[in-house]
Amino acid sequence: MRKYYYALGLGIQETMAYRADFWLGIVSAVFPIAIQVFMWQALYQGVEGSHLYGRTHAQMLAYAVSASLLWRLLKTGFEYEINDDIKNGGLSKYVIRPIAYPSYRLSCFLGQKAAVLLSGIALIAVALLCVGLYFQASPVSLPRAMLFVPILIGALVLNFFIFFCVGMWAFWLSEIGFIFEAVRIVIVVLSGGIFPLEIFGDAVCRVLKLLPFNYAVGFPVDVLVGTASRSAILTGIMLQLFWIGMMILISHGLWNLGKKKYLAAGG
Amino acid sequence: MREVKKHLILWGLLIRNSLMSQLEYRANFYSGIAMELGYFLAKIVYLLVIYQTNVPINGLTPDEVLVFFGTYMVATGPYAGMFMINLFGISHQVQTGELDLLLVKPVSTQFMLTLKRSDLALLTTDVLLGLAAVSVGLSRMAISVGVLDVLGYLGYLISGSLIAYSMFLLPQVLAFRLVKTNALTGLVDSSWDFNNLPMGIYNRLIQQIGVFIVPIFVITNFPALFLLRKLSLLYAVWGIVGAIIWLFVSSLLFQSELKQYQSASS
Repeated sequence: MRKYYYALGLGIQETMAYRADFWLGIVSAVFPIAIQVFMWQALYQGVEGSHLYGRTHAQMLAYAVSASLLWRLLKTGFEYEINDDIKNGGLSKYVIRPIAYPSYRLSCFLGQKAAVLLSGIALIAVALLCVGLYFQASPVSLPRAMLFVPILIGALVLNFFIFFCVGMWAFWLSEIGFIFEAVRIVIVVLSGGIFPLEIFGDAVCRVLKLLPFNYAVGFPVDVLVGTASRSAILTGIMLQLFWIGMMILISHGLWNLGKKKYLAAGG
Repeated sequence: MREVKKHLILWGLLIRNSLMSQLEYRANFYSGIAMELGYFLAKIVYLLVIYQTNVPINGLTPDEVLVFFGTYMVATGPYAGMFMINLFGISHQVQTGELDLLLVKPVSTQFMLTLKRSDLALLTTDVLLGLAAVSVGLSRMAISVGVLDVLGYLGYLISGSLIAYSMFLLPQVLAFRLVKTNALTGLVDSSWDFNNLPMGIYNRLIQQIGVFIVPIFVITNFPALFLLRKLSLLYAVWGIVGAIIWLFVSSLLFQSELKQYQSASS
């Protein structure tokens, strides 16, 4: 277990070393947020009634701001390192050492995120405070904020396993090219990282809420901004835990199958 | 004039080389198309919302917004397929000293450094998707397009691309001084998305800044405004003059900053 704590520490060190890169990545959220602020302002001014997709203007902006910051906060990048390890033989050193590669990657990832999670949550809180001041009504209550924290940790773990499975594709594909980026963009859309899933219509939304992606971004944000009912929160937590379990099993299966394909070329 | 001709011929050869290299590694070519389709999906959801609510955005109907969006996609073609892949690599070439090789070649260093590589998968995917969106938008509004409209649209697309090239080159010339500009590059790239929706959604102050000071809106809004016959005379003139000024200034700054380069490899 100690070796994984060490990997956790490595992840923290890595994020601290490249913290300027991380924060500039977060700052880049300003542009899509600005687009959504102006777009929703125009739409809510023109629409009859005060709700769009079942949300008030304040709730929609709170969602847009939180989702945009949250998916950047949870963003992975280790899938490229996995690809590099597989293609250049770097995986060999993990295969012969008494360390489980998926657990090592998870420890590093959690370490990287632990270094920025508190400040990231503080940033979301400040952004929501601004939304609250603008609309003169807080979009977040204290119980919801407290409930958000464990759900966020669940989202972090789920996101790791989703992208670990994506990274495993490197065992079977000779060239990765832009595939990881293509998959990442689609997952951001399907997870509600840009808009709430309700924009896709009732039928599609119901299907998307059964998939794991919503429980990485959309669901935690809905809990935070108060648009998820009590029963939806309970169902959501169950589904989040279910998908974490499923993704662990799938990634374990893919890892075991992939290892048999590994050639240790260049190692 | 001879120099321009020489560089245009060379550019053609470089594009051909890039295509041949891409076709050798087809996975990259097809995954590039997949990535652009993914980005298209991420952008089209904005239009989905606008069409579903069916509310004019500051006087623009959803179909007009579609024309702006299509033009944004068309302009993203040269940005992603020609400029971005070269401009974002400048810092790497400065770090590794690869720039030394370009300095001794009997062609413009700026030309080689900023237009050497092309990715036709990104370029064609974006242009075709964009043109399809523009066509659908125009046909839904029953706007007929003549030869002059097409020529004017193309002209403003070219001048917009020149502004995009110049604007996005400026932060990269800092690489000659700072060497590493990766974080800045990512930030600047994000600003491209400001054109995802028409500039009409922003307030007047942001519009004026985005047109005359940091002319990000000129790049994709002016061709669409021309096609929709909504381009004012002031904007029509600025769209052309601005491109010339920005190209001249960025080239001047590039030459001046290049003098700061110290070979890193030796």
